[in-house]
Amino acid sequence: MSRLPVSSPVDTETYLALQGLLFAEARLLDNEQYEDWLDMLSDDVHYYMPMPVRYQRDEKENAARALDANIFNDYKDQLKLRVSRFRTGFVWAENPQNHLRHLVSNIEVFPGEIDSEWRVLSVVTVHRNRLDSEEHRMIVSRTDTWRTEGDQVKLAERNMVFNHAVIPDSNLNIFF
Amino acid sequence: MNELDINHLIDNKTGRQSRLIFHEKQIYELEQERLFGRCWLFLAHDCQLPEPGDYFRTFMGEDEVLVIRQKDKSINAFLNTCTHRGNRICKADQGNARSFVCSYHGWSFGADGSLVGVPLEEEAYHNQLDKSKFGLRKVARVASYKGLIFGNFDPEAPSLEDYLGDIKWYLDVWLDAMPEGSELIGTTQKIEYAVNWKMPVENVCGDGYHAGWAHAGVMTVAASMNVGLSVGNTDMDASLGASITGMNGHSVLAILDGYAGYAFYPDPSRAISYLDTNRHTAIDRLGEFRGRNLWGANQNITIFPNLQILPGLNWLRVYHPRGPGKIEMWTWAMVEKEMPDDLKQMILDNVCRTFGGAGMFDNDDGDNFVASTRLNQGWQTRQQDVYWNMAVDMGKEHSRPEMPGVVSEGLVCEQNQRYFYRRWQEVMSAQSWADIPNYNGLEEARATEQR
Ligand code: FES
Ligand SMILES: [Fe+2]
Repeated sequence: MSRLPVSSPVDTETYLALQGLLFAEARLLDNEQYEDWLDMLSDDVHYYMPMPVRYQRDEKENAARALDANIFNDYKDQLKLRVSRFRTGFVWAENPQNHLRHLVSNIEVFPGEIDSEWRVLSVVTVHRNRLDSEEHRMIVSRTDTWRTEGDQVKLAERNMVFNHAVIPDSNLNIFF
Repeated sequence: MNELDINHLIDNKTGRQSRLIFHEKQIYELEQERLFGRCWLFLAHDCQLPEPGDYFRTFMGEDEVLVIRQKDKSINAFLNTCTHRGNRICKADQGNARSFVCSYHGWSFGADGSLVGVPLEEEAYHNQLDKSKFGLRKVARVASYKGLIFGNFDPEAPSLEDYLGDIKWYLDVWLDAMPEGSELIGTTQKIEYAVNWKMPVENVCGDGYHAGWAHAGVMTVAASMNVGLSVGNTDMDASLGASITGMNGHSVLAILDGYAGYAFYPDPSRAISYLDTNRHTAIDRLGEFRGRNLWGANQNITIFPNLQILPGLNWLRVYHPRGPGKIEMWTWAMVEKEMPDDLKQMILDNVCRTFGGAGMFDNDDGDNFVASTRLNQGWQTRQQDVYWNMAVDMGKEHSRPEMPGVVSEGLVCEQNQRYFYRRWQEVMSAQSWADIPNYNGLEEARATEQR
């Protein structure tokens, strides 16, 4: 990631507009309105989250020699496939409906590479409660590119850092 | 827990099992001692630590070990624990180091495990510490088979080659079809969840039965989006499959059409053209049957007790137990070295999408195993037996001249699971390796059957 200035230089109106998009997105995901969520994504969206590895600090460069395994490395087709799997009604782990809440915070907005784009940083905390008291909380930091397309602003790229050394749940039937 | 108790827990004649084997701490501890303490356990693939000083931190059962490439390129493995007060020596997942310095009092150990430095050795120990006695505790045996590195805590265990026995014939379909051999790619996908370690192993080892129902969601969209299911020139037809075991508890669930491993690839054509181009090489090296029928098809290979290798679907997985009710499951993508880079990347992505943390198949399985484990906390519940008794007395087991092991037709057949637990019982009830029977094919398997 290129170095970003300390404070967000965009005006309040832009900031609030993008913050509003992130909150709306969180609401759609919580409510399982996945088709509406897909509409928020550009057709060439790249949605990816590598599995982290712990190296000694002085060895981080060495890390580059390993190919990432990605928990997600999806384009729109794959995201649609995940949604249509869910819609079959045969994903037993999601029935009954589970408690799912996306808490979005640490939002910062920067101008993008080109005029019609913004780089948006955020952190999402995902709370899941399935059977009885079984609870899982996951924290993912996100670097997004949001892009103006006509009268909409769409998510064109989401680069996620999974802030856990081990995936702490038996499934990730969710989006971050 | 004595031998008699172990024998009562499982009855392979009827497929009955006590649910205690998924719950009791005492049984779990005996597994640590007798199973994980005695069997050859997967440590790493050669390609993950190519250079001297390269290391990889992993587990053998619950024991944390550090696998290190030596100056002479051989591999050693050590308990990842300091011989002074027991602190962890290495906290990184992998990397390269000339020595490992303990973060507690600063003892340092060489890549060969020897204790090389002790702070204040003169002032505090008055040079009376015999450093040669305080090297890292070495894993008794380390050996590799065509790139797969295994460790064994038991000096009395058979050689790795003998331990693997006839399963090598199936393993070679991935390890030896192409001249350059195989490799693992991608960083380690690690998932922790609340299951007994045997649940996912028995599932992948033989359970074709669950696929149509547990995975109905992803199977439906795969079919409706025309993703695979019909690849190459054949359909992925379960009637072409076979369940193959015996083989000292190792097993294979195999589809025999030479292509079906790529059935779940959104665009299998890249893989199909690689298979078609290289089919003659595979046939030259493996013979007609394996080269044509197995190479490129899917095989679920289980190496007893906790390693699974799935050529075709292209993932390798090891299950690290974390107490009777929890595991850490580690997965990598498998490729052949000769594959073009874009195909390797496609395989890696597809593995992650199907069998990783957000894998659309894995995500159907997890909660079934969790519940089958968790419910045993009920005292009444765990007095109820469970069964692997599908077609148990129909005499489906037979031999086939073209393939080793005990064979049953079809993927929906609980034979492999029964043999997995037969092995579990044999290893768990034996005092030493001398008491553990050795069998590969049907006749040997029958002759060595206990009781
Ligand atoms: S525990 Fe390692 S130096 Fe003391
Ligand atoms: Fe499954």
